[in-house]
Amino acid sequence: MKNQKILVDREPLSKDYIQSKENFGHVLSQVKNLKPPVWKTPWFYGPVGLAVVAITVSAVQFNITEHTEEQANLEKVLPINDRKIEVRTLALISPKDIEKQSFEEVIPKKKQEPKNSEEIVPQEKEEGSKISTIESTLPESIEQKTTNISISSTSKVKKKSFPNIGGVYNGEISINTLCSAEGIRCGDLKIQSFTLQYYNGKKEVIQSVIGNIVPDKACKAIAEHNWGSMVFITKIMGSNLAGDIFTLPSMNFIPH
Amino acid sequence: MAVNPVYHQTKDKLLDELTLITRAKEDPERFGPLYTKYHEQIFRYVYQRMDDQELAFDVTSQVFIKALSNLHKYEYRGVPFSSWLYRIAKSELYQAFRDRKARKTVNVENMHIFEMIEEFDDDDSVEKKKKLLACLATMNEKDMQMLELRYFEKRSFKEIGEILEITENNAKVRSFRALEKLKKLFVK
Repeated sequence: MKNQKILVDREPLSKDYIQSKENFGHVLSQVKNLKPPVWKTPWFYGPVGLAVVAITVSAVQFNITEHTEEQANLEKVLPINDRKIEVRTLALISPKDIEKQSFEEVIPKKKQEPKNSEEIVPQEKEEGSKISTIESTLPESIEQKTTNISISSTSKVKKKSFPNIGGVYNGEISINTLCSAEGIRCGDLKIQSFTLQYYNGKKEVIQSVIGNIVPDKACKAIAEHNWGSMVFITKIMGSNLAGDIFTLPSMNFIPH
Repeated sequence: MAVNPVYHQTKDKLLDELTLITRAKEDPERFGPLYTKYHEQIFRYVYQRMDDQELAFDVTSQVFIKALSNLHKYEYRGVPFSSWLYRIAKSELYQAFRDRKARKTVNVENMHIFEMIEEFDDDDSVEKKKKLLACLATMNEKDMQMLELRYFEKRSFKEIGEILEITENNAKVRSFRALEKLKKLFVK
């Protein structure tokens, strides 16, 4: 062992000598004078506690502010009416716009509106069609969100009839109807594609389908494993005779 | 010479000691009898491991200051109060070696050296003594501690176990292994 000294036969100290060095008074006074460590005093817990509370509060506050700013930015881009429409109505996006995945506001030509369409918010009238692009200054996450949302002008949105399978738009549906050759229909629009989400017994499957019919393989899996559980049909894209592409509202079915 | 002639105590004596401790917990001034009883033992333990006498007295004082200020944490486990004091002393010694740059010392009596040589070899010449001292200097800290406690201070295995917080059997095994290591070094 390093730094070790070995002493042989060191002269032992006598008991009396050691006793003469006893000083209990000194030990006692030292103990009385001992101060508790800083971290055990109220002076430590006061400021430190306050600092912890202040940091926590400011962190929470900062998160709230950030969230509010995001919300505000989103609201700037999507007027309230549009956000309601996003869930329930049709959106009108030209094929070019879909390819580019750009963030654009599309106002359709009045004459292109299908006859069966149901008007829900006809607030303004405008002749001709107009496409205006909004410059995106939002963070990527928000931009992504808005890209997926169908945006239309508050004034020019016309609601088409809802997509349906055998007249069922939502809720319980028989397997036969769901998998019927008739497929998804929506007034005079031709369904181009949709996304199907179901459980195949092992995992949740998200399948993009071209056309309007639920594929046989999916039908089998749904019949076997989705009895009574939800099947989602989303991103339903339809086109009218003029070639305009429409994003249709999603459908949720419970096969039985 | 055994360092602690008063280590072993009867059960009654241990209970009497516990009464003293309980009183001292209520009133620190009543710690006096315990201080008087154990001061010499603890001092000898400390001084056995350092060269500087004054520093040894100083460290001993620190041991009792620590003991008195932490007495509320003491729990009776059926062993003498000194085993708790030894543990404090050990920690204070390490602190002294670290903070005050004190040099660790091993105090050996000639008699113990020759006892060991006799056990290892028949020839107990001066040369062999030098060799044994050289071998001791190369032992690691744990083994040296066992050799000190068992062969130089002549403590019982029970007491060693209580000081090091190990079982009596474990103390036996460790001290035997430490001696075997020393023997190997010596015979080589």
